[in-house]
Amino acid sequence: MSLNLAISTFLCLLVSVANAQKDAMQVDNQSSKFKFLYDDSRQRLGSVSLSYQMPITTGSNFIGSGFKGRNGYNFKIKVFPYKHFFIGFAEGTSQFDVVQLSILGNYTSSRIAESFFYVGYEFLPLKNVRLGVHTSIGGRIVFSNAVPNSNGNRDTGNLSSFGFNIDYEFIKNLAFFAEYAFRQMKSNILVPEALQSTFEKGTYNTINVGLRFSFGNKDLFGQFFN
Amino acid sequence: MNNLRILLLIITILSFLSCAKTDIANNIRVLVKGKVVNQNNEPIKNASVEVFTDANATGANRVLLGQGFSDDLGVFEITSLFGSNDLFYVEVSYANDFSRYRYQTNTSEFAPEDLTFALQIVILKNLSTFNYNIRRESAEGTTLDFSFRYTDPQCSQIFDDGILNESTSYCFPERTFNRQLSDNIPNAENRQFIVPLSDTVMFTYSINNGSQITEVIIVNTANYEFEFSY
Repeated sequence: MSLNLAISTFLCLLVSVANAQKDAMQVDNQSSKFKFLYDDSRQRLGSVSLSYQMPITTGSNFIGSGFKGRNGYNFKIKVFPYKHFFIGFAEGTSQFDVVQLSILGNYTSSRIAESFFYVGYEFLPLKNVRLGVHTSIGGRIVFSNAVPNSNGNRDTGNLSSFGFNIDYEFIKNLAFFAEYAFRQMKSNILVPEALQSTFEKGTYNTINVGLRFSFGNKDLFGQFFN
Repeated sequence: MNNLRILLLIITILSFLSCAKTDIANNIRVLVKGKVVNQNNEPIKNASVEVFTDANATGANRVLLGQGFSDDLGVFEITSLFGSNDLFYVEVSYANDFSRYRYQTNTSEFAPEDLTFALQIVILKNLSTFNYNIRRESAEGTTLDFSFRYTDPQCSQIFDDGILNESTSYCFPERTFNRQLSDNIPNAENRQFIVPLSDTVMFTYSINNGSQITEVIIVNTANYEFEFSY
């Protein structure tokens, strides 16, 4: 329910920004004060990025209480269908160490595979700097648990991600970036009622640093209609 | 050529046998809970609780699914992985001088509906080693028939589909063993068995097939020494 509300709020925000963007484009010829929202000269078609990911567990749930994040990697691809709106796909992996066996069961570590589609908007606060916000629109997470003396087992769930990133373009198409995201797993793990509150959701933060390569200088809509 | 065929056959059979795997199910956890007390009904803190499963087949490994300890009140609630295997068992133990408890069931076709294994009250008894020496001091030809009756301090409960199978389970059963000493073996020296501390052992004997005499022994030390001569 809260996820739907968050997505709805975000979409409303995007529509508002879109309307503001129209105004900004009109004003752009006269003044540059709305370049924060839109700048045609800095338009891109899309980008791909690769980053180191640092997972940080949080919350009173099986991830927050049972795991400690170790490291990970993330790959993202995104396109700008219209102006600075973007949609994308993210695929990543992270390692977690088990710190509370009595909460999780007897396994030593977990490797998670996370993938999700996302939408967002990119702002241009400064020259060479881009600021993006995003929310996932459907994601999946799989925990591969390393159980001693066995092939291990898996836990799965649906993944939501909300975050923002800041890019610094040190050359035209290449940027360093840092990203923060809050991730929430709605788990498929079947548990007794007494463990329901611990296992129904899991939360962790991610901090990513990496490189982003951008390509194109028109949005997707512009590729076909301009 | 025949030897080669036999070798291939053996390798094939072995490869099939080694395929046996202990199953650990995806997307499930169970809760194992209970309370550990000693023979005086006092809670035992830091008792170890371990949950295992085993396919019980050649080549399969025993897998530790969950582990934890009892709290100050002796209560434990352990979250454990789960698998559909022939053997699923919980072992509760404390120190070496305490008895152990085992809960065992078959989960290949059974899982509790509420995914909870409630072990209720688990009693771990403080143990004593009962050492005995019986020597003959009388003339050759004298025989001694004797027996010890005592409580076995171990407890193992086997459940079938959640119901205790009393025929295969035992919990602090009474044990008795009988011996005869004669010219062939006149003495029984440096023998021992384990009993609960503060428990009683019944020593019954008969010399030269005479009347039976029973002594009640209270085992009040961790290493009890019992000496008898006839």
